[in-house]
Amino acid sequence: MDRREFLGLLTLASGASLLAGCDLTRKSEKLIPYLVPPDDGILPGEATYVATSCTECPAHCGVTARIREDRPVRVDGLAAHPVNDGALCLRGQASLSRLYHVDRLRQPMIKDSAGKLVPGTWDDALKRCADALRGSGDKVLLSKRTTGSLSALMDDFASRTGVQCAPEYELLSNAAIREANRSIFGRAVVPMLHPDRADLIITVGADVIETFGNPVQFTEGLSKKRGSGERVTWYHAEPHVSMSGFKADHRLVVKPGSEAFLLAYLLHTVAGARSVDKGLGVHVADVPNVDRARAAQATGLAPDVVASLGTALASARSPLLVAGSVSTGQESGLDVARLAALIQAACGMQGRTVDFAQAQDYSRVGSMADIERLMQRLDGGSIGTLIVFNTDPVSQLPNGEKFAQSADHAAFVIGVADILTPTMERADVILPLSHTLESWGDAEPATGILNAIQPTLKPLFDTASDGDVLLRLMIAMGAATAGTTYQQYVSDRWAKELGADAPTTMLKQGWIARGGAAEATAAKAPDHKYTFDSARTHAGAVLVVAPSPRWYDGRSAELPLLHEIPDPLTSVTWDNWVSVGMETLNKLGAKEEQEIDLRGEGWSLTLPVRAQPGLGPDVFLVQRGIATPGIGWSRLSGEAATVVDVTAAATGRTFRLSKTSGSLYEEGRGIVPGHEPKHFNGAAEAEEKQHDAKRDDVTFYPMPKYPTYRWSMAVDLDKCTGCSACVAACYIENNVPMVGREQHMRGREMAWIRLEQYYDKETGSGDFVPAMCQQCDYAPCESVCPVYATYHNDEGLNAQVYNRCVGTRYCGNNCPYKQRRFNFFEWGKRPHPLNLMVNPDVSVRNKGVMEKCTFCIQRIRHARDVAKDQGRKIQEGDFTTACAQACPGKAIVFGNLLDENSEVHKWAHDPRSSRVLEELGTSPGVFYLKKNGGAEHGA
Amino acid sequence: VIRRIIDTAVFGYFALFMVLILALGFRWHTHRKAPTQPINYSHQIHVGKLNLECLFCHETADKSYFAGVPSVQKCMSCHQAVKTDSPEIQKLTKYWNDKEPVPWNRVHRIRIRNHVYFTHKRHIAAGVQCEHCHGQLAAMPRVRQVKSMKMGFCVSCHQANHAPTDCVICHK
Repeated sequence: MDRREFLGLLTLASGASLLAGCDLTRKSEKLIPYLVPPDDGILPGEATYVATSCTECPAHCGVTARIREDRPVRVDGLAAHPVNDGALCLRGQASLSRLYHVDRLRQPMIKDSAGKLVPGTWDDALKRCADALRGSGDKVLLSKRTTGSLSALMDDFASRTGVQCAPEYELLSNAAIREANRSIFGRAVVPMLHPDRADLIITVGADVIETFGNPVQFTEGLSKKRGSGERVTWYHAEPHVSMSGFKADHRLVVKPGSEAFLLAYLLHTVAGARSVDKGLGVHVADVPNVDRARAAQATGLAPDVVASLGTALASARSPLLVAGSVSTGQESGLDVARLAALIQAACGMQGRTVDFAQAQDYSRVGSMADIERLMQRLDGGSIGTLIVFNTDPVSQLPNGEKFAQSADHAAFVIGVADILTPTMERADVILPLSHTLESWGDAEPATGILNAIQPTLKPLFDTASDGDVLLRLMIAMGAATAGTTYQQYVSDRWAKELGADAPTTMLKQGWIARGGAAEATAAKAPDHKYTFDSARTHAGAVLVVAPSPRWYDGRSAELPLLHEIPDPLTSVTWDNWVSVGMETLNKLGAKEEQEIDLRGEGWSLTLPVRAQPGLGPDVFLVQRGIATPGIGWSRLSGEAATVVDVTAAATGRTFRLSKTSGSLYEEGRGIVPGHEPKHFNGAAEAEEKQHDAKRDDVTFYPMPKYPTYRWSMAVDLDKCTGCSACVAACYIENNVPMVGREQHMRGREMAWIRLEQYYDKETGSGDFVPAMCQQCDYAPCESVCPVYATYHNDEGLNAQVYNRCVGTRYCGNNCPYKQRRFNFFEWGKRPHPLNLMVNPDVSVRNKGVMEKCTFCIQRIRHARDVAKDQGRKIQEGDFTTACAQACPGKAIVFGNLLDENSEVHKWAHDPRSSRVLEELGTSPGVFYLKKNGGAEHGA
Repeated sequence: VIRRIIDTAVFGYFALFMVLILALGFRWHTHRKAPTQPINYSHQIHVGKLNLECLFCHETADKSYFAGVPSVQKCMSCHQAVKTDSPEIQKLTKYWNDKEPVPWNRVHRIRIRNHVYFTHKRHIAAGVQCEHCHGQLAAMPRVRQVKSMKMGFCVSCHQANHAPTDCVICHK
């Protein structure tokens, strides 16, 4: 074949494919009307909102679901909710992707004769369950923590069917705190914390802004206090690095297992300085005496730091001290929890900063001892049927494999779950659960507050809500039930317990507050023997297992979105890793991104290393979620172990981690507002930089004119905790694609807003800088676009016209802020039901198109529409962007910079305000308020 | 000889394409066929003869971006009694009795709907007549699209009426 022939055939082939590509018979698109129009003012194309509750973690924040075209497209914090007041964390935001998860169970699953789970029908599944529950042996139900009506229904279920409800299972059970509060005050609860009422905050091990108690509520309170101008100093003591440590004013790195010494010292100091009543005095006298030198020696802190902490606590007017999580999960955990409770009482925190009246009710939850007992019963063969209800101990428990083996001893296992987890793979029958957004129910975030759970769409699949599963089981067993649907059950219960008009209020408002419980009363007689001063200390290296900011105890690791969003502290995305301090790493002879072997008693783990600034010597840190070494639990505290002895060895093998940030430092670039770039080291050069930044005439482009609006954003770095709720909110609001590990390895993550972490090399704390498109006045991206797809509009936006973009990527190259994202692939085609998780107000970008943040232009558009209807301009408070709305710390404000009364105008003209890389002359529209750094709330 | 035949065939093949494409390009939008509908509904009768207001049936056109298709209930509110003996109305009655919505075929389409925000509400508030975009429906027994609904069509009207022409007013 010669050249001409080849070309001829080529053109023939291309012509044929062109012909085939022409859709001459256009597929007709259907336009389906209502059969009967809805009568409650629902307009097609206009969003409606339903108040319900988040159930992604046990904090149960109130949420509002935004519904478009009969399906929820967003969940946000419920405004004016007494717990989370309009904010929602990243796990809550991401819970929408659980509803649309591709791996959701779509119908009941039944194990066939070959031991494989195959789809079945509800009738068949329920019949098998009922037969098993009528069979021989004990029947035990193991559930995750339940509250409100579901707890009541569980009790009904148990009493009518003879099934025993085992103590509920939560990996982060707060067992030590509850036991301490029970044995001292007779109240086994986890009290609510009020940082907004505190002038001194001391947190020990508890990651209060991310995973402990109600993190959203704590962050809001802390932010309110820090923004009020009143003095507040936050000390955080921990053996590892957590988000709280990163954001506290003072991070105190203590030796693992030494927290009790510090607390004992503080207790004696406080008891000496403040008058404590007699009942409490007995308790204090019972605590082994720890003086300053002893505390300093045990914790590894400088003696004057220990002393200043004691003085601060003794003299503070309204202190707040709490210990938990990593500190209460170790051998001395119960001592730590008791000492913290005693300090709370001695300082009079109860009723002020530590609230027993509005506590988290964990009374149905057991400790690790209860799980061990259950496993022993299973091993002994006395349990015939085990119901595992919406929980996944096999992947969460430190000895999950052991639980799996024990579960196999039960003759029949009934699983109730939404996704096929490792625990569910053991089940003989799986009853599929509906998502909370498809269910009726209620949830109790704190004593005295009840959230409604109401459906926002018809169940996508053949599933049932948690309550309905129990009712169906009861009906299948012939046990009389209080109602045939859970909706009826819940509604009747609300009317009975909260008054006749409660059901209406619940559905409209989303929550009801009833009277809280009593405050903690006088101390009981001491019945505890402290062992911390005689216990074995950790001599060598230790492994710290901490709750994950993204996956909590591991349950949220099922959501791909929470792998796509980087870990705020290390920027690792899709991989599992162990964080190690630089000093330890050098000692091991390993390098970053090399695998190391970790070995302990009866377990071993091989993980790649991420060098983590601020970690103490010989401390290895892993997160709960995907790494579950079999490290057991603490017999004394009843909590899953958090600190264990470990031996580490370098393997020499390299493992490239998927992460979004190559360096965790600024590298002298002066990106964090308030930091000077290092290369401007001479005074003259610094002056030159100042001069450059001031000169608006260095450009030959004219200054853009803004007649009415200049949309701007301001971020207070003091209030930003790095929680990444904004990132999750942005992903869902703007249909930002999730691209997976492989693309991350090529640096092709698509997030429109990211949390940049800049560590201070010495202290291990630092700054989080949320970075979104800076909407520059002189945007470098605009001038290089050959097709005018990105341009500056007269409202200050660097607008992007997606279907005009031809994908040259010049703009991405020219952006100094790395804010433009290129679609290397067609991400819009998502598998069912993930394709339903689309905000119809925002386009789904095609392959070959550049995309970026445009300050939620769809919300601007909607606000303009509403304002025009009322014949006015858009005003402050009409709307805000998704990131600002989600922020638990209220660290982001958005508005019109030209409006002098707007919040963003005030923040932009604050003395703390500056812009990132201002010396480039880009004149960004995003302002950053640098950290106060001790001026206002530091010591 | 064979080569010459191939050459001619290739040339002829492509020439045919060019002619087709040019012809279609010029006349495409004015020659869009009216799709057949499950019920032979006539705007000519309802608007031309009976003088019904557009908003009577498309009731969300002044309230939402979406003009709205009348619910089956709306149709039945008249046709419970009117012309019940007509075979087309009997089709409608069957849908109603079967509790099925009528699966209408969409007539007006913006080709890049994913990328464009269009709202009926604002245009009606600005006093744009329905006929301006949809043509003389009163004279159409079966509706077809008469305007291109392409960017040029939108922008020329926006410019003429001093409506905003910022790209992101429409492009999403």
